[in-house]
Amino acid sequence: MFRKRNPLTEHITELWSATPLFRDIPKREILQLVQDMPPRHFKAGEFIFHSGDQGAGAAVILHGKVEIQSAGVKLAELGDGDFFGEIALVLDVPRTADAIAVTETELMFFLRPELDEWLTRSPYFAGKLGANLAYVLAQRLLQANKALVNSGQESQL
Amino acid sequence: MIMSLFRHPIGRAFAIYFTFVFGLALMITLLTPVLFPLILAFILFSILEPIKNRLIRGGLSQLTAIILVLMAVMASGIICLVIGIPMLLDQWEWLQTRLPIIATKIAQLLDTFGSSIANSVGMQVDTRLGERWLADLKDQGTSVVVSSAGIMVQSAFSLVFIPIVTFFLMRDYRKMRNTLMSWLPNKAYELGWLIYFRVTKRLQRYVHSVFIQSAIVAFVTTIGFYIIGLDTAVLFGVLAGLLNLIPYIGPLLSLLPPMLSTLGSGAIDIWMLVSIAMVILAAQIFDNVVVIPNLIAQTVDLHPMMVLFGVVVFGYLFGFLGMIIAIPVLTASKFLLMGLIHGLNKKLTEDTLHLLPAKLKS
Repeated sequence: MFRKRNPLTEHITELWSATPLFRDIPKREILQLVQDMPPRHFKAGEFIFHSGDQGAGAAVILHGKVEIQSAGVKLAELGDGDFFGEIALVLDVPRTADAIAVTETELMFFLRPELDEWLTRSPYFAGKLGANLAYVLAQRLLQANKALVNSGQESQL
Repeated sequence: MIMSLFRHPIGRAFAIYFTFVFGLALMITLLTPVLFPLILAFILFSILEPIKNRLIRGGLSQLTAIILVLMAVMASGIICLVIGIPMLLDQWEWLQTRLPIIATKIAQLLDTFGSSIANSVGMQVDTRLGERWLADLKDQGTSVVVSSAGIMVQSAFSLVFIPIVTFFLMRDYRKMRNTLMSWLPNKAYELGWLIYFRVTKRLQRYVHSVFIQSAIVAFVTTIGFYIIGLDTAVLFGVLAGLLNLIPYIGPLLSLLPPMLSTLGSGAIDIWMLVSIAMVILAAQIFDNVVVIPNLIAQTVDLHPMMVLFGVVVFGYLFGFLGMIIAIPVLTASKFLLMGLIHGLNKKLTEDTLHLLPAKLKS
């Protein structure tokens, strides 16, 4: 009840809270989710996951840089506060790309078992995360569609 | 040669699996003195956790919710002990006084059976094995009285131990689990969580279903025994429900106590013996036709041979408790091995991509 708050936990709460996944979800709820979850440390050049690995959840970058690659092609470079791997929160499918730590990186995972438990504990807010997740994935789909249309137009020219 | 075997994903999966099983077996051996109350505490935790979550959703703090739930359980437990235990002990003492009579009756039956076989077929049947077993049964009747003091001490210890462990599980399980999982190396972290998720989901569903099933069988059997006019209907009904936790062998075992009791209660009542068998059969039909398809199906997906083998081996190693935990342990073990094989073998994982619609349906 009167437990002293850990500054790292507060920092992680702030980072997750700033992502679109946790939009409109109170910080006390996020704090409960992250307070007992130790962060993961990755060395520069270490694979966070490989394409084809089974994914268990999404991760937010506490500090460091992460590169997302597919078949050796760089798709994105992510930094502090960015998140990735959110498809694994919804689908039990293998990872579709590689994620590599470019520099010394610290991550915090939000995993499907945690989401599942949160759903029974706090269905309203966990449901909100579900809606936010749908929004994020729909936006990604729109972007992918636009890129596909643009590449089609370029090839016609 | 051995190193190249470990480099292969399936070889590695088996190596990790056997290391885990060995570690678990070692832990179970070390924890043998407190294994029974510990398992009970975990079962209680699994049952009470959703109730605690419901109270938290209603606005209570975690600590208040845990205390409320545990107090309610302890109050119900004390009421059950005050009302139920003396009644069950009375019935047990009644049964105990009958044990020598039952033994003598069965000895007479065996003698009659032996001489009628000898008269009709001309073959001598050795009934000494039965006599030895009956002598053991008589001895057990006396040893029960001696050991009952020990049982009382152990029960008192369990009564204190179980609520304390359950309290800490309800308060700190998540923290303890997350700390344990954080010891996994980076490359096994997500796979470890996935396997944990699948195993615990199955086990949770199994524990909930099997306890409801056991309660239903106990209820149906008690009603049946009451209708046919059997003394100690509640004791034997509860026993049938408990024994039903043991697959295949349990229902057969549940026939023995009421039948032996009937045999020892005077003249051989064939009608009562048939009625007892019919009640157990009816409860089993109800269980197999109504309860299992709706509750248990899909929670356990093990081959019957594996189930029988597991029940016998675990029963030999850990007694009655072993027979009950055989199925959940085998289920967890199967999901652990399958998870490791699929997780470590990339080709298998990639091959599951085309199965996506089927997975979504499930």
